[in-house]
Amino acid sequence: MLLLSLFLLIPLTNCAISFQHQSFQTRFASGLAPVLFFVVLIGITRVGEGVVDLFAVMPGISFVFHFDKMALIFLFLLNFLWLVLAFYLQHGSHKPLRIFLAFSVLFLSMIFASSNFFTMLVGYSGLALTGLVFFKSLALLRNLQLFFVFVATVVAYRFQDLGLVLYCAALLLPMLFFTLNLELLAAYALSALFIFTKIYTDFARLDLLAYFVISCTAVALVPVLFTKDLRTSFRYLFLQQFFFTIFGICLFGNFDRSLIYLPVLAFSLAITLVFFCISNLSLYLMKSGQTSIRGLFHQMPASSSLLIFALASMAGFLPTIGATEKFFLIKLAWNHRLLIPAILVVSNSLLLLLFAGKMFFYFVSISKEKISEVDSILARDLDLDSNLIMTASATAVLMLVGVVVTKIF
Amino acid sequence: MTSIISIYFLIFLPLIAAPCCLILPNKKSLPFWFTLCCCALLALLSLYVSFVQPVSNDFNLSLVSLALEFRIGTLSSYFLIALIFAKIIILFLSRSCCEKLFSTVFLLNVFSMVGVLTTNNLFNLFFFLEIYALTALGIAAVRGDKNIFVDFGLNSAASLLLLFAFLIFYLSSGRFSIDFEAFSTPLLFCVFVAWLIKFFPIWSFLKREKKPVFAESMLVQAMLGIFLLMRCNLVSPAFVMVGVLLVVIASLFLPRQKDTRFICIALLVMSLGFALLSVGLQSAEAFRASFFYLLNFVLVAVLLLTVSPRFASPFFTLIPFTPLFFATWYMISASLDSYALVAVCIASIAQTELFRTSPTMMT
Repeated sequence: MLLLSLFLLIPLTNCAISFQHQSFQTRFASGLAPVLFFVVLIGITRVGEGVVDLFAVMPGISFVFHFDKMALIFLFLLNFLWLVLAFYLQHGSHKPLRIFLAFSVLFLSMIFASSNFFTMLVGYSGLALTGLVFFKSLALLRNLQLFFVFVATVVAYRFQDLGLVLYCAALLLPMLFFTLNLELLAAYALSALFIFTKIYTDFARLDLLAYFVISCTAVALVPVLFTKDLRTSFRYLFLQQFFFTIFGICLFGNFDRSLIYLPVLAFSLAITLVFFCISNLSLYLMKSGQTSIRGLFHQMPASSSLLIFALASMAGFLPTIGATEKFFLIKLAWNHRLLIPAILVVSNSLLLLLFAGKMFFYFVSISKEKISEVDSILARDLDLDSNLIMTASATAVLMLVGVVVTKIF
Repeated sequence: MTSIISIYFLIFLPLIAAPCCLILPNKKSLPFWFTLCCCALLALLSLYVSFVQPVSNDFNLSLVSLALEFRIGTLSSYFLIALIFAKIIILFLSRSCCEKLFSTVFLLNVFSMVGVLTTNNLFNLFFFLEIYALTALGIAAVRGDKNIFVDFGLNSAASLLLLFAFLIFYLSSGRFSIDFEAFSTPLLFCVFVAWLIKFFPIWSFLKREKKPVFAESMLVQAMLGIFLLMRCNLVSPAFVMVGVLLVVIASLFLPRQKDTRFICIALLVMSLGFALLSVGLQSAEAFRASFFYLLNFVLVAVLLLTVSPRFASPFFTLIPFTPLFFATWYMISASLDSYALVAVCIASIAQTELFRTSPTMMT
């Protein structure tokens, strides 16, 4: 109970801190919070698997937390992302973003530790409503999506199969809100991935969903390659990789449940690294007024290299967690003679390699635009930003550590 | 204290306290505090009564039972608590005109309200409704509100209809207990028309410009009507249909509103629709949902009328553990097999749309 109180109290305190103005104390406290959270998670791991039934909400429905293996894997992942984002946000005045991220951590940890659909709904509603407060775009659609999740939850308690299908459909909807803020989209994606994994682990095999996801992944392959704008191509990449991760969850869920977490870990780490690099490059392009990404490697070598590294590892061509994931996916497809999934895995890897190659070509080619002295200094400052380098390097190292990640399972 | 004594206290405390107000010394805020203390005591008593076992037709004192036949179940005790709190809020809104005479009439009004909520007898019901109408007129007279006189005329006509229906029922069946299932269709129609005029004169709600009068109409008068509706055990598919219709109409009307009074009226119509739905669906979940919708309406109305629209806006959306959250949950669960689900969805979307579109612009 003490650990649970701390588990909720630390993100809650972080939310309160995020409202304060940036000072040494608040920066120190917001940096300390994920470390303390990590300590609490270690404590929970020591105590072992446990269910905490807080109170009965309705007849037959309780507000329950369950710290099992899956919850802990997701919580450690969240903790890592929180840590790197806390370092990333140490400088600058990102107050609304800080508040949003603090609340996201709170509600995502609630979702990850939830034991039933009701507790999950509470966390998901909190996350969606926080998003509605901070990001106004597509508010009506997002409201409708939240209501859809709500209805699906009620249906799941009455008719489980129908409820699960509705639930999955409702969780996929935010991915179609293409213009949504990336941080919000990432929070939606992380919660959806957890819930998909949980559904596949605890409840049922959803073959229909697997076919749907395969089609989405295949369709989403095309625009990634042919989009020229950096941020838009990242959005397509994010979307495509999200569907690919669900495809991975479906495949592992059906044939080898011990590896079901692997796609989520690979996706989260790789996308985090890509996100850091893309935001850094975009920031430079925005501030300098440069329109083309040609020649960026000469100005921002660290960010560009890390981006290429992330893309190549996502494709499975570098010894990272991405390669581990692809290896097991292909092994599984081979063992069970699954032709379509095998084609999809191979084409996904080839596409990402092509994409990484295309980016590399653009980055190293000579730019036609003249770069002023001021822009060069700006590029160097942004590229060597200590927070970015630290967080990105930490993510990259963790991805490399991912080759031995199977030992966790 | 046994439950029977506490019920006696509950009913007769405001009746005894009302004349006591007249002998209070002429100090500025003494009547207000005296009335407030009485209401607070009533709130405590109603809380106590809600925890004891339900009481029904307990007294059996031969002829006296005609006048002292009470029934307190879960529904009445919930409504008692809610309406006494609503009365306390109205008292605060009327603080500026709270003198000895006002307090006396106000307490008599509370007495009649408690009577309507606890009686199990048609004669008593008629009696308490008449006292309620008269005291409401008295309160309006003290406040100097002239619009209420037209309503009082209509109310009297409705009372005559009620009296007519009750008398015919008594002459034909020899019974006086509240059992609307035994009413014939024409009598039910008379009761329905009288009920509509007495409790839901929507057209005249808007004329009530003063906040306390408007709050009285919304939070007490209409709530009493909804209570009586939920108490009757009439099962009819027509109720579901009318309920769905009311909810859909109110939902279409709601999102465009900026005036707090219009929002209150739309929410009231919606709550009435849900109450009708719960009566029509006749499931425990539907009744729970209906109660939560009413609770949400009362909260929103109180916040809109007393504090600020900004504070009311969170109650339009599905924030976990709020009354609307539970109401929507229970109503969806109750209406999964029925077309009433459409109404629930439309109502929820309308409310969240109101939450999304500038609640700060409300006037």
